[in-house]
Amino acid sequence: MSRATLLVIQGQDQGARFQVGDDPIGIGRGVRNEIRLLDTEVSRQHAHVLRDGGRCVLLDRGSSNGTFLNGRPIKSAPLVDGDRIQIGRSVILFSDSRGDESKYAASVIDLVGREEAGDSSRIVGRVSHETSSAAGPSTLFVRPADTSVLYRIAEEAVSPSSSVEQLLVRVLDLTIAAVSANRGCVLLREIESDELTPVAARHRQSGGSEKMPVSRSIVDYVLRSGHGVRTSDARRDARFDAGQSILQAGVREALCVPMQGRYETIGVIYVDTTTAADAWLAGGGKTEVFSDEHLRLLIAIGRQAALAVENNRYQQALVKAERLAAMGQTIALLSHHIKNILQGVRGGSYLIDMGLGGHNEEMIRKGWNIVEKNQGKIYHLVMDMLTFSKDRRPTLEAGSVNQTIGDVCELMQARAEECGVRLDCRFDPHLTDAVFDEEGIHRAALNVVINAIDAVEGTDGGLVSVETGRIADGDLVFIAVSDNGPGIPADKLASIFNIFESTKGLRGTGLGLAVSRKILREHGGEISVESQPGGGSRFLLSWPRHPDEEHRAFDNKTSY
Amino acid sequence: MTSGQCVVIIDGMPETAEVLQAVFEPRGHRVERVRDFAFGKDRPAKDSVLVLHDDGAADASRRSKYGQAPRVVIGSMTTRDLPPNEKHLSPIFQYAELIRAVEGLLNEQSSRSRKVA
Repeated sequence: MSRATLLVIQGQDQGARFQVGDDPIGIGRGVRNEIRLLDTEVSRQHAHVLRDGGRCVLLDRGSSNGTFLNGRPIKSAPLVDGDRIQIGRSVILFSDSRGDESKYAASVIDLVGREEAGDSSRIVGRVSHETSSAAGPSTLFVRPADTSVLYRIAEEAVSPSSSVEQLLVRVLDLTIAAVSANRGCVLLREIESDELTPVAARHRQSGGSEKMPVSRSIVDYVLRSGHGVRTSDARRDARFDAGQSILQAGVREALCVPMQGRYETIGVIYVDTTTAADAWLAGGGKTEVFSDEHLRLLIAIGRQAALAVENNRYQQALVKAERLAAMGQTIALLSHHIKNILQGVRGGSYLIDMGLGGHNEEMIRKGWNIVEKNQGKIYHLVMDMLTFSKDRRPTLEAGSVNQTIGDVCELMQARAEECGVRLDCRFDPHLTDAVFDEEGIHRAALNVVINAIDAVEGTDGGLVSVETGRIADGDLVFIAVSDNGPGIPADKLASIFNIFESTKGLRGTGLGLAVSRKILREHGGEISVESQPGGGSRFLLSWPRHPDEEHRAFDNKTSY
Repeated sequence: MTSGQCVVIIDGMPETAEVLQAVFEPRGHRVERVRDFAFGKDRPAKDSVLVLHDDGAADASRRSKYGQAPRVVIGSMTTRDLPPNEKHLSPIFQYAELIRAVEGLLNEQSSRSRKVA
């Protein structure tokens, strides 16, 4: 079974990836969609991607602004690998591989060596890559069809691809159609060993699985000389004696061109026709499918494909480097925070040890309090990590925001007192029930309140205010957390919601606000901050009172 | 070491202050935890022993803010050429080390005070 995925390549959720399983994937602004696009041009229930037999299908669900597939509006359309779905301002890339293109290619490509009977191909036409380039496109590709093919291949070459193999499969499909070949393949040089490796193979008839003999001597010649070659006129070939393997395979003509990269030839593209021997004999052996024009076109395609492969490798290298850097940063920050917790536990243990030595129960109690507090820190760290890393759907239920935030304040009261901070809670008594994930909003608010207490701890007259209320415009619920701490420097404001960004120095994990933002966005809401250095900070958490359309219908509102 | 001296913990982990409070307050010393931005507003540094958590931000201007006050610096900074009024602990320290370092500085401060008197 193929492995189909949807990757958001443009929009707020850029980088999010979803696997298409047996259940339909909903795309829209509504909170119950698997792919939730927070975009005003997107309908609440905008589109679906679902499996229909062996293929995936994109369905528009009566959206207001339409669903576009590769730039064209659709109501329903099958998806193929590389398709781009545009919904609102977001673009989603559909990828569908049969698992491993390289394995498939290796299983069907048969590199026929010189010593084998089948390798008696004869070159009947050749064009140098350099000659082809020097001549320029105006003399080489006079046919509008060729220009169109090159344009489409160039477009594919710069389109997002999840792998080199997928990119080359798409290029092969276009190439096979453009030169009327029956099948084709791409062989790339291994960077380290210089060995040729099949990476993509395609038959014009989908599902073709017969072996594709490729002459190693021709491939070697193409790689060595940089020339594209055409093999034809099979009657002059000894291989067409009855019983010869290539006659059995039915090869009459083949084109093989170098994939000339910026610095070296990175591989070859090979296409052929596979006319059956009896049909070929019936035609007198004079039917030629490939011409030198095809060869020139294929050389240009080979050049573009090579550049695309190089670009893809460059992108992969960048991604790998960034992934490693991100992993290093994650490990460093988590190690730092765990070290601080460990240091706290050590402090508690030290006091317990002292208390035990001196039979001092008060000392033991103080030590135990520190140990317990650090247990709580580990718990919050783990919960924040889980919340941030998991793709989760909020459990939306109608409930009292005042009750949830009251619980947060109650939980934080002891900590605030311990830190010499006054925690002032002012809840709107008229705030009616809202729809939210109680556990999520509790965590989101808790993180912000903890930050606020930390911000004013150790200052004279430290004050943290927590308010709830309703914003009539947009029917939003809000939680506001204000402090009279030192404020946040202007240059840090833009990044404080990013993961691993912290203004708390030793005490911050850089997870809390990122987690809060994630939770609010899951509710279709947002978290924002106003702050002045020296003038305190005010965080505002807000979300639609009824983020879910089913609850909204209950509230007698018009759904989008 | 005489009673009535002050240990000020600047920023860092609250547990550091809690342990030092549990150890030094019964001996008659004051232990306070303050934020770096609030330091020096209403309490002179010279009468205190400072405990600084240096997470790389202890630049020259910050150091000058603390004047000549004796201090224990917890951090990964180099230990070479330390001024005489400064002791250094690595970020993963033993609390016994911290307490010994603070005791040492309190004793030195106390001796100096007696000489001046």
